[in-house]
Amino acid sequence: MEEINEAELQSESLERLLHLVEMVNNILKDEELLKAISKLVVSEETFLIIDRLPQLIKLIEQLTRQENLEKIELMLSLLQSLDKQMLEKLSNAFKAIKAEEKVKPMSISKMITTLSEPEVSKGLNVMLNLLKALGS
Amino acid sequence: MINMAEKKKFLIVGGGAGGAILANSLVKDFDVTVINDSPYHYYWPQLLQIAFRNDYSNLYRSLSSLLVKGVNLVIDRVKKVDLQDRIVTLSNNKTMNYDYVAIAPGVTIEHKGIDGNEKLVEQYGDFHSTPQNASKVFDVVSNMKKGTFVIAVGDPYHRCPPSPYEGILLADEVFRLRGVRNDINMILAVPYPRAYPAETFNEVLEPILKERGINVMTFFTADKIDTENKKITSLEGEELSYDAAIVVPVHKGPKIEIKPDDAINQDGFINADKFTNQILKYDDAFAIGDASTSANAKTGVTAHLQAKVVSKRVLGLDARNTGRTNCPTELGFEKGTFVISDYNHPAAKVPANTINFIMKRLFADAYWDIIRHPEFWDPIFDVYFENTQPEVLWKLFR
Amino acid sequence: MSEAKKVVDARGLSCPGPITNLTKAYRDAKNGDVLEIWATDPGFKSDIKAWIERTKNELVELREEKDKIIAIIKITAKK
Repeated sequence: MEEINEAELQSESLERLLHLVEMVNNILKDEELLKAISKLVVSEETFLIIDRLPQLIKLIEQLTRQENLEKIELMLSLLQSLDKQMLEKLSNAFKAIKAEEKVKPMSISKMITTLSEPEVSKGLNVMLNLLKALGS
Repeated sequence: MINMAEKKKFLIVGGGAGGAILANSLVKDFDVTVINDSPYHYYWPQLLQIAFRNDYSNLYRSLSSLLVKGVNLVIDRVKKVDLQDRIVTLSNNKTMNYDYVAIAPGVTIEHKGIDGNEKLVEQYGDFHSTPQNASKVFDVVSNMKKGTFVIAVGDPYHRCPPSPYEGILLADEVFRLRGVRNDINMILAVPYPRAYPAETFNEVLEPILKERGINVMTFFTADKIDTENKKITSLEGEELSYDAAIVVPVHKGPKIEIKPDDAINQDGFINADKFTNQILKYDDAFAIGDASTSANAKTGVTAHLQAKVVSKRVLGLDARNTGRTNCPTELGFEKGTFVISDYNHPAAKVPANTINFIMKRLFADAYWDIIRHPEFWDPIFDVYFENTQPEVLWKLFR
Repeated sequence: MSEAKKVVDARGLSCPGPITNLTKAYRDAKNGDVLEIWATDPGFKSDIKAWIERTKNELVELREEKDKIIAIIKITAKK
């Protein structure tokens, strides 16, 4: 009885193997599937990644060190806390500075009126708070 | 060892995706017999591949090769199922009785349900009925040089909800590859208020149809076809001229007499509970897949999931259908998407891309193995279905 | 042949269930018949209006009740 069971088991696993082979064969015969896969795998970007793989691995190793991970997490929480509108304003301000290569001299009276503008005083306030936090 | 006489008799009418998976899932606990009208099991989605790729590879396998050892197979046509007396009558009037029965014979395609469609299908074929008709479509799309090519839906309750869209997009691919696309006007005519019936999935599909230059006619239910003058008239009263046309034919329930009469609806589909597949009050009778009113989409995946629910219920578990659909959709040029919804969630906006095409093809190529080895694939599908629940996808793709 | 009134119950079906059920009833209907469609899908209201516009049948009434939307249509434009 046991011998028969053994033989039966063997024939069953052989059959399972044959079915798996049939499936793999189906996949390998599927030209369009292989084309789609190779399109994904063989592209300019993937070649670049393969080319830079050693550097990437090194980078990932550094990034995943405990002390660096903690720093990255802090950076992320900082990023999340940032107000998007504020950032946009900031980047616009930088752009404006860049665009106006020649900064025109400003009279003191003009400067005082500019300082009293609510938008400007708000910005100054933010800057002061930031400086305070860094100093403490 | 369990004595065969102790096992209860489970008859399964139909050896398609639902019937075969159910049989293979039950063989340990029941004395299972599958009755099928043909020695072959057809993978119907292959009709699209025949129609637009001339690829016959996955069309059929012998049913006996798909059933696990121990499942009995009878090749015969079932004439009648009497739920009251628990008797199944075969074509030669031989009868079989049962402790449990699952009816899963699929649909009957009725070209004559639309006036003129019998003639039309002789000319241009279709991709919902037979491999012969699908091969006619391939002749048409690989020879047409100019004119208007139409795919029209005559019956919204057809097999494989995305198939008309796959059809028109794959035809577009063929025309483009042959370099004749600019001379062919392509029209998709549908009964719905928009290109794809489900509004949410329409947001994925409509831009693709637009990009590929396919004209969509909404509220157009093909009703009459005048093959002399090459015109289709819709139920809504509009006309559409064509040079070549495919009209998705009317689908009816199986040609099996079922007693009592109220077990089937006016179109011959079997009235079954959408959660449990149970037929009326008969707790020993189930209807699975395309033949059953419980199938919210006529697809193999639905039949598969329903078979698993029934196989658990007869073992005393309270399994229920969620109405999950998982319709892989090919869009041509190695792109694909999935129509994934359930009773509680409309179809998610799964984006069209190459990864989804690869997933679709892997499913198709693994099809025979999935039927043969439910024990191997069940855990894989459990994980897949769990992680691609419409609820989850809705959060991912807004 | 006498004119008939038929209720099409499409409650619980989300789009386009109600419209496809209506299409099915429309196939069997004749001019003069009245179809009453029950639906719960909120998209049904705009869909039914679009359907009426395209088919030129008559929308007798479209109202919302607690548990369903009811559209009453008189078939006048069938060829």
